[in-house]
Amino acid sequence: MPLRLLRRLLLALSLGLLPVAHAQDEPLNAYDFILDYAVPESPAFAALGVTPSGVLSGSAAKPLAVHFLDQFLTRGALRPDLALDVVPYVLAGGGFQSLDAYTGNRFRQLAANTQFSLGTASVEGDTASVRLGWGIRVSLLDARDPLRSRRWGPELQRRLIAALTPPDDGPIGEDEGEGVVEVPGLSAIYDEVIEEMRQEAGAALAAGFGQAVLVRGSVASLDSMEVLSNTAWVAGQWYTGLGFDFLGMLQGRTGPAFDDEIRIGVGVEGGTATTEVAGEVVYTTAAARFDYGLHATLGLLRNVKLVTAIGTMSEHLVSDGPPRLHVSAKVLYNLSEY
Amino acid sequence: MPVLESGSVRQAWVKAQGGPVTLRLTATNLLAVGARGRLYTPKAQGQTPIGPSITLGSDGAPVTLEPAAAELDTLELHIRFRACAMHEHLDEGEVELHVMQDNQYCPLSRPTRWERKVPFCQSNKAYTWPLILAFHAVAP
Repeated sequence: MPLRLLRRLLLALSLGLLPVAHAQDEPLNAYDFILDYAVPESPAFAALGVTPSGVLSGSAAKPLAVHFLDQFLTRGALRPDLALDVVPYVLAGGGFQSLDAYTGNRFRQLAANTQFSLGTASVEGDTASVRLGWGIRVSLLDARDPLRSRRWGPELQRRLIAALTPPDDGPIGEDEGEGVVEVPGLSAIYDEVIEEMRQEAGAALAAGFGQAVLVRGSVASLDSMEVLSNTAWVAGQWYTGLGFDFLGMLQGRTGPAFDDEIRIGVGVEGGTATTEVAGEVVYTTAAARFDYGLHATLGLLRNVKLVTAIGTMSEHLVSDGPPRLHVSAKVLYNLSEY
Repeated sequence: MPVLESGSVRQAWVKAQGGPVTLRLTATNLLAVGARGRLYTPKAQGQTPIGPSITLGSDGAPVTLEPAAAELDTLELHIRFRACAMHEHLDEGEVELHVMQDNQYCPLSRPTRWERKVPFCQSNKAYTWPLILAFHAVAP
């Protein structure tokens, strides 16, 4: 299977941070119960300061996601930025034998929700150099992760069992064998559970850290690399269950390239499982100013989303000038989904 | 508890005299399994259904069969199973049927174990197999 091969390849490339020992005797993939399709901003992009949204999400990590970001309307040229997010524990096959084995083990919960990310961003006015970013993000809680809910996992199982129960077809014949049969409606049960989860109130909380590095001349040697910034953040989310959510974020950034700063942001987003619109306001201490932004997420396919954003937030790492309007577009490919 | 297998028919000696039989279906690795069964007289006696059909699910909820004690040692329980994986990457799993004996559950059928992938539930497919349990009442 190409996707599995890709996952194994990414596994091998993931900086040796993988708990492979779990893979052999625990075949269950932890992610497959995470039914929340919202994919958080890439930690690498957060470190680089190029996330389309200024207020980061608190939702659960997704095991494998690719972000393509472009700001062609702002920059006047097509120069896409790229980020790859992985959850090594999940990609390595780390899992558990039962739902209880997960809900009762805090370490596994955190391991299954710790995300590593690598990304690149272009440098304004310098096509020969590139910025590299890496980040780590831990989802501490997420009410839309049934893995951490004692209600939704068993509820999904209960509904599947009801749909699987065969009809009464009389006594079993001597020639009746075994094999694969069609059972229409099973997939729709997942969709039902997702929609019902969206109608419940709850909270999500995530914390992250990342670093941005400038690589001069696009040659990654120690002499050509310069640390631009270190960024740490805590992001929270309150699901109202009424079709919209509140977002909040506290972010600190320090580095030789600019003044230390703290960002405080709040936002509200609403929509459906496939389409969301959000508005936000962010206060930055170093610049002593408020920035505003709007962004929309449109599901192109079940696992491919288009995010467009417009706002006054600057990237800060390369441009600290007066506020100006930035437009960006991002395609998000969540490889964790079908 | 001794269990013999012959094709899809598994002969189980159940100490069932004088009372109902309580069955429980369990599954590992988050398989979702649905099963329906019904008691029949043996083929030589016309395979007449006895009582209503019963449903068993892998959530472990017990099901009680209540045939007349005198009938039980001549009856067969015909069960059809359907299972799917609640996640995409399940490569193996086990399903086991238990019976209540002496106030505790004993394995009635050997674990049914897959060495290959069962369908992912979201594919709208399931793996199905039949099982016939022939009861032989013995003195408690």
